[in-house]
Amino acid sequence: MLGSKKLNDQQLVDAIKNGDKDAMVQLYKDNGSSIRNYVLKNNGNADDAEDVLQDTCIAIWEKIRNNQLELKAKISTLAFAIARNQWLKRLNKLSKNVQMDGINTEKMTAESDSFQFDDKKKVQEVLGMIGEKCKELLTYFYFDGYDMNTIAEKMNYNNSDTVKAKKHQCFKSLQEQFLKKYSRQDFI
Amino acid sequence: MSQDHLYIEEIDAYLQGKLNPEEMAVFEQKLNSDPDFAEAFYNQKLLSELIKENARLELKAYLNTHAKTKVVSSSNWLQSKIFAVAATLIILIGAFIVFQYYSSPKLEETLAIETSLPSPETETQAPVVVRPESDQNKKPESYNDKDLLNEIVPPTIEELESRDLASIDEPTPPLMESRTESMKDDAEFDYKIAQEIKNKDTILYAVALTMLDADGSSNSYGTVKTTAKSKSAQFPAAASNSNQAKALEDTKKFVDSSSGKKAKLSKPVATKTKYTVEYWTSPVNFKGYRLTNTTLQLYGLNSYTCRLFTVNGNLYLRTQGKVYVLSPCVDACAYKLEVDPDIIQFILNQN
Repeated sequence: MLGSKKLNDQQLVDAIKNGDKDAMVQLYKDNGSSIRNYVLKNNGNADDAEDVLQDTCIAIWEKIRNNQLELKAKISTLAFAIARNQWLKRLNKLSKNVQMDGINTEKMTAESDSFQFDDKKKVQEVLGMIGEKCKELLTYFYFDGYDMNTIAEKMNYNNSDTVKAKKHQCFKSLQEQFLKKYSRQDFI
Repeated sequence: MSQDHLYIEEIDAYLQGKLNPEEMAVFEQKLNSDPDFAEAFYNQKLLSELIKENARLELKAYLNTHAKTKVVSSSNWLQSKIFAVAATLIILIGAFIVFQYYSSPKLEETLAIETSLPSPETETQAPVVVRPESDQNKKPESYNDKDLLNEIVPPTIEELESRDLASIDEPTPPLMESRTESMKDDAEFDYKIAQEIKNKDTILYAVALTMLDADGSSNSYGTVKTTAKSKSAQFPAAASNSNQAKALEDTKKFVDSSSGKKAKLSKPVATKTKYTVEYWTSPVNFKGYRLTNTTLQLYGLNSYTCRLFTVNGNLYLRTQGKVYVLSPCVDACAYKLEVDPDIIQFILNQN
């Protein structure tokens, strides 16, 4: 779809809503140089720049999929703003980590909002414990924020009740599998 | 089960921000008072985050395979690197060719080192210090022996004297004439005449005084024991074969004695080598020389002012009070000033 044509902002939003990952690739290409330059000019290295760029693309993807994005400004402006926030957050985290000298007391005492997903393999392993269908459904629900009707449509289920039951089943299964091997502490 | 189900639904609603303020307050109240509920909530929160994170990782993987290879394509990067390397190589090769073309003396300098012709620095030191001691046990350095055997003919005092006399009595220009006269019957001479005609302003002749200068003292010539008497020292080209053979024999003797016993190789040795020298005039006034084996072509100089010497196998040109070292040079090389003051002094001291 992308190959030859370059999408305008509205087309890009629509494409991402339809789950077109190549639209995200266009996002990556269009905003690559400005975001990279920004990170590199602000004490980041090439790896940091790549991370911020990818995270920005994914953040925009998530916002669009969750209907959290209103096209008030150009997507490039939005992308730069998101990248900037992400980089500042990272810098903050870095300086905090340095200050705290490795002992993250804040996280130990209160169940804070953030979990630690530095180990990608662990994340993938947990989601690998359930079937593909379950993973797809749960992703639609939790990541894309689709309602039951949309999921039923996407996955060819009869109605939203079927999806609800299926979703419950899948989640319980994931929880069981997860608790067999891990505890919450593994991701804090 | 149904309780479980309700928990999950409620927690999802909370996590997705679908609760109204009152519901939210109730929810948070429950969270703080019911540990089981809190446990269920945090687990569910973690799992939902894990699901999201996994989805992000899948998107990242897609970007890494589709965006990166297309935008910051590693193959493009590689190609550009290869291109850069190729361009650099071409430039280097070009620079080398230009360098070779315009600065042959420098190239010739490296040639001289590679062919292990003695450099002035080593020649003054090596024979004196190293040789007499090391030769007892060690195999002699191949270069020195070869050099001595094949090229250097030890001269006699008589030779030197006669040579000196010759150059005094007969200044170079007439010498050329007289050479021509005196060698008329020589077969070798005929060949040279032929070449002389061919080359017009060419003199096919050379005298070279070869010196192995160690400590620079001239009186140590006496220690070289050879009996060869060259009557035509100033005309080596006309020297008889037997004479040359004798000289060669003497050289051998000389080498044997030097490597066998406490030889006096360290002392200065004057030898003579036969070179064919051609004086050329270049139409573009090129000044330089070619030197292959024993044929020397000098451009831009004339026989009146030039004298040639070989010192320790190196060929030197003296002209107008300057000493140039002539290393083997197939293509035309520029004249290069000798740097060793000992050798310069030694050669300037010669007549």
